[in-house]
Amino acid sequence: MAMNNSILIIGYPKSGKSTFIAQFFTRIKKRKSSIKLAKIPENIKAITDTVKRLSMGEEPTTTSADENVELLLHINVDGENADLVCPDYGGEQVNNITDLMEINEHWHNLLNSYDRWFLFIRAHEITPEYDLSISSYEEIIKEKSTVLKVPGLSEQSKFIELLQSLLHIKNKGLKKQVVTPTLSIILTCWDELKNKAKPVQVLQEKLPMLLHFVESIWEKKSFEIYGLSAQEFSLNTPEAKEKYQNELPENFGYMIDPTGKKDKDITKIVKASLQL
Amino acid sequence: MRKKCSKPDCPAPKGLCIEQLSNDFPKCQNWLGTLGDQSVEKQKRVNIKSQTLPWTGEPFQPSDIEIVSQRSVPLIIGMVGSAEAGKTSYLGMLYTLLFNGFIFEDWSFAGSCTLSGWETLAQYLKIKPDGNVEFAPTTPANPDYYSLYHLALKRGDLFRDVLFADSSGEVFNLWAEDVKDQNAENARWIYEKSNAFIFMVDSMALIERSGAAKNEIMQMAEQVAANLKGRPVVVVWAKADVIDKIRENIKIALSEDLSQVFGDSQIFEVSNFSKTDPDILCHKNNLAVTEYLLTQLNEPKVIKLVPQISSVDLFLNYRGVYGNE
Repeated sequence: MAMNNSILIIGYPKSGKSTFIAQFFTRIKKRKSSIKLAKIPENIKAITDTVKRLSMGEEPTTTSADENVELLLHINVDGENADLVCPDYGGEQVNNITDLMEINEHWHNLLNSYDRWFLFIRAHEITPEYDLSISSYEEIIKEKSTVLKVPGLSEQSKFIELLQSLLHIKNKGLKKQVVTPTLSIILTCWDELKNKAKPVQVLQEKLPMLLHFVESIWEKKSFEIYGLSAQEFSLNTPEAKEKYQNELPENFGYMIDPTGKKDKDITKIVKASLQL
Repeated sequence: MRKKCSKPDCPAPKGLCIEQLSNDFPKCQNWLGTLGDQSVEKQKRVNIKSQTLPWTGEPFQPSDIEIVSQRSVPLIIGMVGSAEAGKTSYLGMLYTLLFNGFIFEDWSFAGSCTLSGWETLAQYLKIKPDGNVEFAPTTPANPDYYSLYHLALKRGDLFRDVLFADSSGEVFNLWAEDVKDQNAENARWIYEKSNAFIFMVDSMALIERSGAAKNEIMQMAEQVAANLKGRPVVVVWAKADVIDKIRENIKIALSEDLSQVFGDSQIFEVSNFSKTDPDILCHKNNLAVTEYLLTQLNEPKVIKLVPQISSVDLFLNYRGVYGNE
């Protein structure tokens, strides 16, 4: 079956989905991109607040986790129609998938009808944990635990659990390399990162088992890793705020392509995903 | 759904609550509840139809094997060794290494249906802010306790589901003395179902209890060897960072006895303490143990037809000119 041009945006709460879509939407509306709106969206409530706050030079507020407003954009990329859907701004439904190991019917349908997945990861927020394999400690006090503690999943295993669950629902076996859906991993809030290596190197440093998993499961040509700073800098200072008000939000933000090259046109992430 | 009781040997929610002997486990004081209880409520209110995934992330029970056996014949690796030998810690370290980006030489990680179970093991190797490490509690010596940890692995086009079968060392000690012991059901199950074995030798026990520990290890080794039917065994000296403190004569005698029982089994020394980076005992050997068995299990079988005869009579021991090849 041929692969369609429908893009599904997936991400846990606070992974930067809203800011990206708000900036993406503002740019294509202003015709500042080779991507155009094919149709005026019926409902843009999901991003209204973020667009408004950015235009005032204010940091977007975090979308409340259980906010289920869906945003569907019909776009035209170099003459070709495509859909982009973000079903879950808050990220609560994605949380439910890995907390409860359940997928609701709506997500089920989306996963089956959307062949291009965007996974948003805010890499800076992932902090390393220290265990015996990392550090050489001579003087470790060894204790024996008496009760079994259940720690809950780490960030890294959550992403792996999420991807393998979503593939299962889409009925994709793991024996053959996955070609459809394609996977674009987007490392958001790139400006927060100290290490400005290539996106794949950042993922290797932060979530090496996830990268290894994706490389084992997906066909090489069917996944790609990008960096993204949809806002470009934090809006916590008066200078930053003024800059945003004067120069307009759509002039800020950049993406990092897989080779590490910076590009001011963040809409290229969408365009590139259609080439996978 | 991820639910769990704080009592390690309580089978709830799959079975009855061990304290109350009923299905009313949420009322039990040991019950940890669900991470997303509120979300469950919320979702029920919204009343959207949901599909539950076939796996939960918790360690498999034998009945869960069918989750993966539909796509491939899973390989079961039995963890064998006395109590505290380091079976559970070995598994915790294996996952920790993969988690931190260490990889098998030929096999790549293609997911796991027991991620939550692995994470529970790995937490016990984390260094707490006060510099302490709280090792895993002793695995429950309940004959019904099963814990199978899953890895999906790929080597080129070859896809394998691997299950590591962990159980209590106490149960294995019972089994080693009497394979029909009624309290060793899970040890019997592991011995019968496993495709290969990781045989753990506890270096620390050999330092502390020398001859007695050696006897215990050999009793178990002989029992494992009794009915192997060609299944590979790898001998793993755990806590090998202190292996030099074992009395030399004990170490040599045990090595000789083990090689007599297991023949030309591969031997590895492992440790959970990385002293250097990279560290051979920790970083390299923990992965090499499993990789060795995976390679063995996926090679075309060579059937050796040389009978195993052990006798003081040299004539009976003579296997012909090809016997030693």
